[in-house]
Amino acid sequence: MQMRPDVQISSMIKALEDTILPAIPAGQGLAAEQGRLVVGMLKLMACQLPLQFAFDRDELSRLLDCCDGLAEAMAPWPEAAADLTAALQAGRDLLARCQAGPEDLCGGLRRLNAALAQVIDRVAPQASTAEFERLQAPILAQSREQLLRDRALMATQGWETGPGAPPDIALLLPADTVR
Amino acid sequence: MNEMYRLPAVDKARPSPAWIAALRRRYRTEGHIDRLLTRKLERRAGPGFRPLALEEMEAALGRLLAARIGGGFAIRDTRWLWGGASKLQVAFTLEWDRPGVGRERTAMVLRMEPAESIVETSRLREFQLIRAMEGVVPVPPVFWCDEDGDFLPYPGLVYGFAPGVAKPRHDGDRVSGVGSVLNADLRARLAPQFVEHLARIHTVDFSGADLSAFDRPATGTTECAAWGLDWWERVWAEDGDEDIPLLRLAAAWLRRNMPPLDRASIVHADYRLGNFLFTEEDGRISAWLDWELGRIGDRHQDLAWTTSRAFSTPADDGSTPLICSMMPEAAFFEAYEIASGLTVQPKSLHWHKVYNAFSLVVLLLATGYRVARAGKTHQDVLVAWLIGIGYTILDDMRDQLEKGA
Repeated sequence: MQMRPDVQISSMIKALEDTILPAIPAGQGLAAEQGRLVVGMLKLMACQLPLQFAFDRDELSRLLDCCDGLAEAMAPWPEAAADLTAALQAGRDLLARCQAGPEDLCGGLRRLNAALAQVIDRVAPQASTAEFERLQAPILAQSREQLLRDRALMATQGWETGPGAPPDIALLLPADTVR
Repeated sequence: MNEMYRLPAVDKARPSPAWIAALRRRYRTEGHIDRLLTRKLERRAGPGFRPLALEEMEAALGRLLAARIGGGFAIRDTRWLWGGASKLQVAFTLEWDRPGVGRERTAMVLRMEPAESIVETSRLREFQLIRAMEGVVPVPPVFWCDEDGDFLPYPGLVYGFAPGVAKPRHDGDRVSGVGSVLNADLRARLAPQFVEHLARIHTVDFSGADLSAFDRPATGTTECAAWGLDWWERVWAEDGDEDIPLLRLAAAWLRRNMPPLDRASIVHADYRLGNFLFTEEDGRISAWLDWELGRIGDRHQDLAWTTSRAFSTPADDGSTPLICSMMPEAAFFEAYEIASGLTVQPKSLHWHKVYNAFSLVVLLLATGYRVARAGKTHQDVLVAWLIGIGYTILDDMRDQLEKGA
């Protein structure tokens, strides 16, 4: 998926700074101030988004250290200590599951797509007709399913409407991953 | 083994001379296209697009005009024009001594590239092609070209202002006229001209025209298809960010199935509703625009493009697709064959449907991303927005590949 926040946010900032804000008439102070705040907020998002997952994981890790440190002090209150221990265990399980982040997933997708692309570049020129057909079948099948989801993710842009339009993206993703 | 396969990962934002040279060796395009793409890469590490004041444009235009026509002119009523996704346009009135006419106030448009465009094309090719089409189909008069940006901030050309609209006024704001709907009256008036003009473009004898920026592919060979495929494969290599296995499969399929060229025609390459002006009161096509991707090539490229699902709208029955909101596809081909005396070859048409989708996907997902991310245009947010339709086009291409598989 090429449409990601990096290009979305940078292009919005440029449109605001180069075109929209300079066009606000001098007397429209509120619009100018809110425009500048939108730029500032978008710049904050651009910095924050790539770090957000690591930031939250880091906070979780230090919260767990804090819980560890509290354990001894909780001795006089065994019921509360038990609750804290349960929360600590749940937090540790979560941290263990969070070792790979979104950037790892994106990187993995890119590497796998690149590897597939290179394999095609490498073997397609030498393949017989039958071999080429065997090569293209799984690529076409995977692409059909993936492109349905890519198109569904772009639905709010309004490119496709009517009976041929893709379904709601939430219906196409595994149920336990969609909230 | 494919040479690109052996190339190391590169920083495409700062391409090295060695990498550029490798690309040029690997992909054989028309000479002028090679020059353009090379220039694009050589300038890539340079600054992004900076906003230009109208006064700055007016001064640059003055320098261009002084070089082309000397003195005795005045530029008036300059204003920005908006629309389209690739070039900057400034409308103005030139008061000048027009050769053969005398003192005149001529409405003109300056069309100029940004630092990098969603589609890298040549103003000189556009200039020559419009000139070649004068008297063949309605085109705006073209006056001057600044091919390398010697006077203007970036390369540009000046053409005459043509009357008319690109889409019905009732149709609201749509990007480049895509998805515009014609009512029955306009349809009846425009459709015959739409077919007739395409037939004329494809059958005109262009041997006497100055088309020095174009290479002419040999008939009876697959040279034309190979040049086109190499063009867009090279752009993918230059601009692509995230790889797409389906696109590589499509490139391989296109390479294995290249059709021979039976006749070299002028190809508009973006022949559709939205790229011509018409006068609403009488439904007359007044000018064909956007020749920037035009080439000497295979008529099926235009036929496949014009009949693309992306440019069709449903008929009044709500289901029959009308190509460019004009007529059903079968009726269009029948009328075209009668008007041109040329045949429509299904196999070549199918190849060009895959080819056109391939080039459009490259343009949207590779170049669109690359230039918007680097801040290279005057409307990066629009270019980024258009990335979203790339997946629909990619799915169309997959569909075409399955049909041909």
